[in-house]
Amino acid sequence: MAGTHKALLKYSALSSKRQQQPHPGNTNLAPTKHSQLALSIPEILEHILIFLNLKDRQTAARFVCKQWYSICKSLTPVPFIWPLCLPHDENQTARGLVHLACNLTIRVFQCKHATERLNSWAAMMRMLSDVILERGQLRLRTLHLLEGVIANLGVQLPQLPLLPYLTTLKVDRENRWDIMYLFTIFKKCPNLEEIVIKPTWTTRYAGDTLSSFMNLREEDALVNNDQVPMTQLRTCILYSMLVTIPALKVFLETCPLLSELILIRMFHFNRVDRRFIQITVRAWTHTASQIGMLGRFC
Amino acid sequence: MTVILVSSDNQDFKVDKEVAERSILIKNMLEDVGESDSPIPLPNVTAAVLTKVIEYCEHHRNDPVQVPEETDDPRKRSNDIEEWDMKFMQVDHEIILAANYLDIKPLLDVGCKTVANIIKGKTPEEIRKAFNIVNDFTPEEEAQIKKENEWAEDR
Repeated sequence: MAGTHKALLKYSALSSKRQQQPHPGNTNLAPTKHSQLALSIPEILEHILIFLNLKDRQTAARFVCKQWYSICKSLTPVPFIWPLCLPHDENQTARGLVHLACNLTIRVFQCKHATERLNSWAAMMRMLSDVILERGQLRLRTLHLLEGVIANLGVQLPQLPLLPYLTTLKVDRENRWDIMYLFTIFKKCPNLEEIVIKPTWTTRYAGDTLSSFMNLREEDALVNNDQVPMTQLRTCILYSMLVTIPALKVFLETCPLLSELILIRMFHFNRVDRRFIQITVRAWTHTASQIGMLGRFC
Repeated sequence: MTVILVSSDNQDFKVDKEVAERSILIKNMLEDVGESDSPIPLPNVTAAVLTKVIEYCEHHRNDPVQVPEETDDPRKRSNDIEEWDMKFMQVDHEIILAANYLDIKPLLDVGCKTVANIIKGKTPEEIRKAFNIVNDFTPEEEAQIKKENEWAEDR
């Protein structure tokens, strides 16, 4: 054990020398060949960079060299929820930061006055286009549009870019939605696993307003179009939607793996005279048998 | 029961089996070989580093063996290094290399946290200087990354 002893002595000498230095974090470590070697092994470098906070990684580490950049980039889509509140005056930094998040909750403040609501809504749409359209590289996985004044989101949906990473979409909307909007969403979000469309809690004050809807011809065109199958979609929860049986049928055929379908307070929609009736238990038996049949089919 | 570890510069180290098995590499080796007195060669680790590694394993011999984390928490913090470990790590990056090679996860963690602490708060240029890294970006590429990154600049 003489060797060990000698080595230990050598090391304690080394450690005591190091301890004389003021602070380990601030010392300029003499670049040794070992430090270079350790950092040149990608898994070690990655392990080190994981311990940095987001800001250090984004503002410093990624600029060091190409290897660091690519590792930082692979670490970047941070899997945490980033609830974003949009007050009337938008927060510039928050908007900037948001493209890093893969789970995004956009909440628009509730306001009493119509003009303010409109501003608030406009802010959200700006946000969406900013984040999603301009920074197309966004790897958004969860999107939750919350509470806001998103009455006309259905109209805006076709403008959404393709969101191939999006697996969860939740929309709290104020007006009733036409089930046809789902197909628009499906086109843009082909890998959705879960979709929840429900009213905001303020909806009960909003009365029976109806967001824009399609006419019969448009529905026919959509229904007869070949739909891309939603092979990932497993959960679908819909509140107070306007449904038509052909649309529901196409919807079910489109989602072969659907394992959970919850329809609450649905309305049958008659596209010809634009009237809708709440589906009663009796009407449901009819729909339910359709679903049962289609379920077997799927 | 003890095992004999042989460093790259041919020094023998007699270590309790329990201590040596903090290294997953050695643990696996011992399991593969079975009962045997033959020394274990570690051609990638010098005596000096091995001494430190053994010192670490001795100090932490009673720690529960880490269960591999199912989900790695990305929000790992680097400021939870034990005081003993902190002093210990003021040595060298060689330890990190050895920890990686010997597969001693807690030691690798401490090592990486220590290096991360050095990186923290530094500018890219300071980082390059500290670790002797060559900047291989062209000015255009650098501008491009800056653009990706505009939000993070302090304005």
